[in-house]
Amino acid sequence: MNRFAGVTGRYVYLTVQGVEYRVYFEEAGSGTPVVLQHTAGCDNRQWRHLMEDTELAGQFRLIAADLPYHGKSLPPAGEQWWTTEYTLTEEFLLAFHVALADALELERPIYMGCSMGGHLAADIALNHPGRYRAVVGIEAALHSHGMERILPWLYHPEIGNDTKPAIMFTLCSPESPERFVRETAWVYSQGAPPVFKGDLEYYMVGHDLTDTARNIDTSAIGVWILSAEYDWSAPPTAGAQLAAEVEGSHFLPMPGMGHFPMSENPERFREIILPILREAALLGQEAVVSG
Amino acid sequence: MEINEDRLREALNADPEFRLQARFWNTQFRVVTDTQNLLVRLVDGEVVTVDTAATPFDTWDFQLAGTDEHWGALLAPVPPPFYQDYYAAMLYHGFRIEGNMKMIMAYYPAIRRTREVLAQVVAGQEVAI
Repeated sequence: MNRFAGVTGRYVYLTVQGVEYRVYFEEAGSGTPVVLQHTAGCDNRQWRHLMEDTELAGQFRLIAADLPYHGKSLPPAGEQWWTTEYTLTEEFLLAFHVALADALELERPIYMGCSMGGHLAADIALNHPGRYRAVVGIEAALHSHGMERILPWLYHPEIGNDTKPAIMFTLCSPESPERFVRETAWVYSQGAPPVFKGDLEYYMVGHDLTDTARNIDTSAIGVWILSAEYDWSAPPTAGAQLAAEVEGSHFLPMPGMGHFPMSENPERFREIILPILREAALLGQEAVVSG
Repeated sequence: MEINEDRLREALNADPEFRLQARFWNTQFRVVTDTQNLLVRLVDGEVVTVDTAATPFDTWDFQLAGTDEHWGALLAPVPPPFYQDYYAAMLYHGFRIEGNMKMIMAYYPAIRRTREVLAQVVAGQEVAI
């Protein structure tokens, strides 16, 4: 008998900052909507294990889009995108996610993202607390400044597309199953050449909540921050610093995990994330009851 | 900690991932510990010599340099946090991976793999030849 994944993919047209994008997204399950954001230079395949988890899909509507220029979301057909170097901004990311939630008519979804997507979790909590019921920032931090000089090497004519996955490999935990670490790195070898660097312009340069994280109101939006022990890019101390600034947030260290917990060690990650998502989903119910 | 030069050369040449990622590579790099200064020379992706008598007059493109404590953690079966790679160890523990940065970045897939091959060599594991 043939075996099929319980995941479906389709395209939605979104207009973001005046430009129309054909955006690919996958979804699985039903229940409280959870929007999943991939890491820099990657795509929604990172979430495939979570998307195929029957227990999660039984309680949550899991939605994972490819950002424009990533995966199956092509650059916008109406723009001469080849005349400028690709760069991602916080403003675009925020507008993109609100447009996606609106287009899919999501009722106060949970937002969950990793790395760049983790940074965005805190940015969403600060800027759109009424649109989402909770955010889960995996490998989130106040900022990731200090390594900007690596950026030119990540989009360089004399450096191939094998270098990015090799560096991503080093962000994984030695305790993670090798087959999933290799898969995690493989996806990075398939990103368009300028995209990883362009995304890191947001991750390393643009994102900075040093002066504003304390303004996040956790009575309006739940905030979870998860930090992996082996993540040298956003180490647990960085996640703890962000959590310390956000009163009422939840901070969870992840011993033995690396920068990509959902894809490099999916079995262990599901045990971590399932109770968090259940608790986050209840925040929405409380809002409905009290409202 | 002692790195046997012959075993290192054999192990690198026998490692399919290293050979694949080292294709077309002509380089000389140093592996420096508290007591050793090895000069590894590759021609067209093959390790042709591991020189144990390297001197300050020898040319090299980059080096992997650390104390025996660094190397002990890097080559452990399960490295402690931020010893899972040279790059992380440089950022957090004072290990040195330095030299021609363009070459380091271009050949990082092969350089990264040397840590795992060195771990096999130091552990005395048999290498597939």
